[in-house]
Parts: sequence; structure tokens; C-alpha cells
Amino acid sequence: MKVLVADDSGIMRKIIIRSLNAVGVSDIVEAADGQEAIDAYKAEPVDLILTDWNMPNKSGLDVVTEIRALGSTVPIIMVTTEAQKSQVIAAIQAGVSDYLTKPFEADDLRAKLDKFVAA
Amino acid sequence: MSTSTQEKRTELSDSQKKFIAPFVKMTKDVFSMMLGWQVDLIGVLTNDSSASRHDCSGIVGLSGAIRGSVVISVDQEVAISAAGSFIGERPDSINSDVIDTVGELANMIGGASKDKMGISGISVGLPTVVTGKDHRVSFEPGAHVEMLQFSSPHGPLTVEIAVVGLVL
Repeated sequence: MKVLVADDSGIMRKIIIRSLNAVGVSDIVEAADGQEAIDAYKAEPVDLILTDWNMPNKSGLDVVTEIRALGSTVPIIMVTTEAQKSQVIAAIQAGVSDYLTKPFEADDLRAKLDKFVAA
Repeated sequence: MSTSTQEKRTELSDSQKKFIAPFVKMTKDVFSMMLGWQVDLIGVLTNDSSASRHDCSGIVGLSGAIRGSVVISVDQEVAISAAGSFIGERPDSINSDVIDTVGELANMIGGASKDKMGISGISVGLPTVVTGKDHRVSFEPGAHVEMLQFSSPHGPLTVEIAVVGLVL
């Protein structure tokens, strides 16, 4: 299983990658902004995407919109501090598969990963 | 740090308590949920330009419905310990992981708090981190500044909220 982790925070990518490693995923592609994430997916599709919302160049919402526009049904988990109902709805309408708000506990992230890694 | 007014208050008004409440809660939640640390509010300084600052500051801007910034400031030991908790290996000194940690703490505290301020349409910018003893963070002239002082298992930290055009 290959996973794309998109977040402009290097430490947040490491936190997510630690959790991915813990559920047995080691084939991971990192992106430090939205455009990098879109380019990485176009270059080599993955089986799961975790993306931040607020990133330089293109946002996580742009990532979801552009990848869905490609016809992809890859599961996408938005991991973000954006927690307002209108934003969650916008993300769902754009095509996110799941939503995790920061701050989160390790078990919260693990539960989301279990859902898609086991699928 | 420079502010246009220099005012210290020992007792908070109801409007001040309401204003700082989301930031107190989310600071506690960020440290508790992400790091397993208990942090406690030990003081609040209002528009106090003499307030001491720590070694590393993470800053996020607020825009849209309000204009201002949120700054978390921590000592080196707090920053390194937090980075160590995040990545499972304690850095020897302030490196890119430590810088990223302070920036992400600012992002989470600022981002999560703004949704609980009861004001819609606030955006939070990408974090900036400043390090070094006696570094300065200057706020816009006229900004109202509340500095929240917390204790943590690894040392003290502060969270400042500076907002322009706010009367409390």
C-alpha cells in the first residue's frame, strides 16, 4: 500500500508517518504543499492520501478537488485545524473521504488509518 | 515586543475572560492531546510591553473578520521536549524538527481557537518561527494584547493574542 502525506509542516508529516508505520505502512510519498501533492499523485497514484488544508501554493481543498477531477476515487483524509461546519461541508462536497481535526490524540489518527489501511 | 499602550490589569473583565477562553482551552487541549502534557494557566498580562519572552516563538497571523496575530513562546527545553515527544527521539539542539514543532503548535492553537471565538470569517495564516534569546516580536500599533502565561512539565510558555481594533 502506498500513501501520500501532504502537509507543509515537516513535524506533522513525521507524526502521521509514525502512525502509518505503526499500522504497517512504509511506502510513503511526502509533499510539502498542495501543488507538490497534486503533482506527486499525477506522477504515481497512491492508495490513500492524508492532506492538510492550509498549505502554500495550493490548499488541501484544491488537492481534493483536482484529484477528484481526474476521476480518482482514492480515499482522502483531511487532517486540519479547520473545524467550522461550513468548512467540513465544503470538504465533503469536494470529495474527502474522512476528516480529522487538529489537535488529535494518537488513537484518533490510528482509528482513521485502521479504517482505510484495513479496507 | 512593542505595543502602543502599556496597561497592566490584575483582574480580568468579563469581556476579557470571554475573549481569552478559547485560547486557554485550545492551548490546554493541544498540549494534552498531542503531547500528553498538562499545562496550567498561571497568569494573564494585558498590554504589558515589559513581559518577558522565551527562546522560540511561533507566530500565525489572523485576517478576515479580525486582524492580528497569535504567538506561542517557549523556552528551548520546552521546544526540544515537545519535538522529542512528536518524533520519538529527542533532538540534541534546536533543529528543523524543533522549529517545525513550534510552528505547528502556533498553527494548532491559533487555528483551533479562532473557530471558537464566536466570530465567523477569521482566517489563520501559515506559521513563522523566530528563535534566539531576547528576540523581538512587534505587534501592529494600537493592537490589544493579552499574554497568557502557562506552566508545563518542561518549563513555562506563553500564548499572546494581539488584535487590532478590539476594545475589551
